[in-house]
Amino acid sequence: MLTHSHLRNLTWGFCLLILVSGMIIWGQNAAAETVLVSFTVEPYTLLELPEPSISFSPVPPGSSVEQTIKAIVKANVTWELRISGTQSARASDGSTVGISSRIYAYDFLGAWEQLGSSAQRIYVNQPPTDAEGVTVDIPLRLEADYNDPPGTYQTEIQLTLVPMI
Amino acid sequence: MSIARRILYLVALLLFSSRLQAAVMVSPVIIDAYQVERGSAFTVTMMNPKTYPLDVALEWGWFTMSSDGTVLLDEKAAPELDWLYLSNPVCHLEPESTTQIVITVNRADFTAVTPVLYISLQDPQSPVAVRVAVLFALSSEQPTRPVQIEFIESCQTDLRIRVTNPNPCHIYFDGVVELYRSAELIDEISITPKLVLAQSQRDISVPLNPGADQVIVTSDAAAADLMVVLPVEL
Repeated sequence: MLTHSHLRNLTWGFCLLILVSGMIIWGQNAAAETVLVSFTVEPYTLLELPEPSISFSPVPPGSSVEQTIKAIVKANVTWELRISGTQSARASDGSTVGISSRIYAYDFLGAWEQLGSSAQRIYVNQPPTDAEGVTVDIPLRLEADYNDPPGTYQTEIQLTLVPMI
Repeated sequence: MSIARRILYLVALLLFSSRLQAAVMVSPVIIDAYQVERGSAFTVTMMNPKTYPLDVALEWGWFTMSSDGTVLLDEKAAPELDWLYLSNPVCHLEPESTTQIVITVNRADFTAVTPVLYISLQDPQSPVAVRVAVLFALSSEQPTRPVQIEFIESCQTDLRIRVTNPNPCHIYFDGVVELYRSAELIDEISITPKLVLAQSQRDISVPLNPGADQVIVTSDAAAADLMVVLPVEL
């Protein structure tokens, strides 16, 4: 039989239980507090020429010869690679001369396009790479012209890595 | 002239440099900002991953975009439009280190400009110039009007969505394409944010599920969703 004393003890015990449970729940909630952490990954690109030395084989006028440049691209955005060139060259004696021989690049449409001052697209809509990057081949073709005197010429080409947005 | 002399050999050396490999990493390569004002500054980080020093040249140009999203580069920056200031056109990168350059808005008397900063590796011995483009989309305004989805059409295996940005500044368009067949959702394609320049249009292509007969494009950037019933192939 429950006496008043028992009831009082039970009531106190129940209140204590509620209080302790509440504190535990409160403590758990406090322990589960989260902090929002924000960060920004910036778009980046890297362009590298792994083989800085490349040359065309000697070629007679009227003929063509092909060679391939390699480039390494790393990017976390979609990217394009473009190439441009010039119709002037440095001759063996160091002088700058205009040349008639032409250099072509194999563009993204699968056609040989002559290099000019406006950059042409050789790789388009390329996906982001992993940390190792991708190595791309850039086929080039030299068509030697009869109007160029025999000799060794050095001409300039330019590779441009463009992010897509 | 003898045949022997006619068949003279032309040797064209594209690259005979004995220099080491060249590489440069640049971040960020896309910088966009609204409400820019005189003194606004942007930082570009360049990293030389190699074990030898490199010099880079910094040059300005302009870009625009065609409706298919192709970046059209204009190599000839008008120097008189000196909206952006760069303290030094040449920068020296120490081995395996990063260097930051700060670009400051010199004048803000524009609504929207899209310059491009070319970061070129400098190696006078090498006939191949390597450069990375950093694209800027800057505006003294901010967008106040939603993008309009003009139309959706199927083009063979793709779905083409044309959007128009009526704002005097650039905006990013993103969204979701839902493809349905007989009122049942069969595919859901996310459109990653696409830059649409000020007061211009952009066509966005997504792969089209051949069985789809209805498409709904939703975007927070757009004024309204657009639903189109696709022609059914018989």
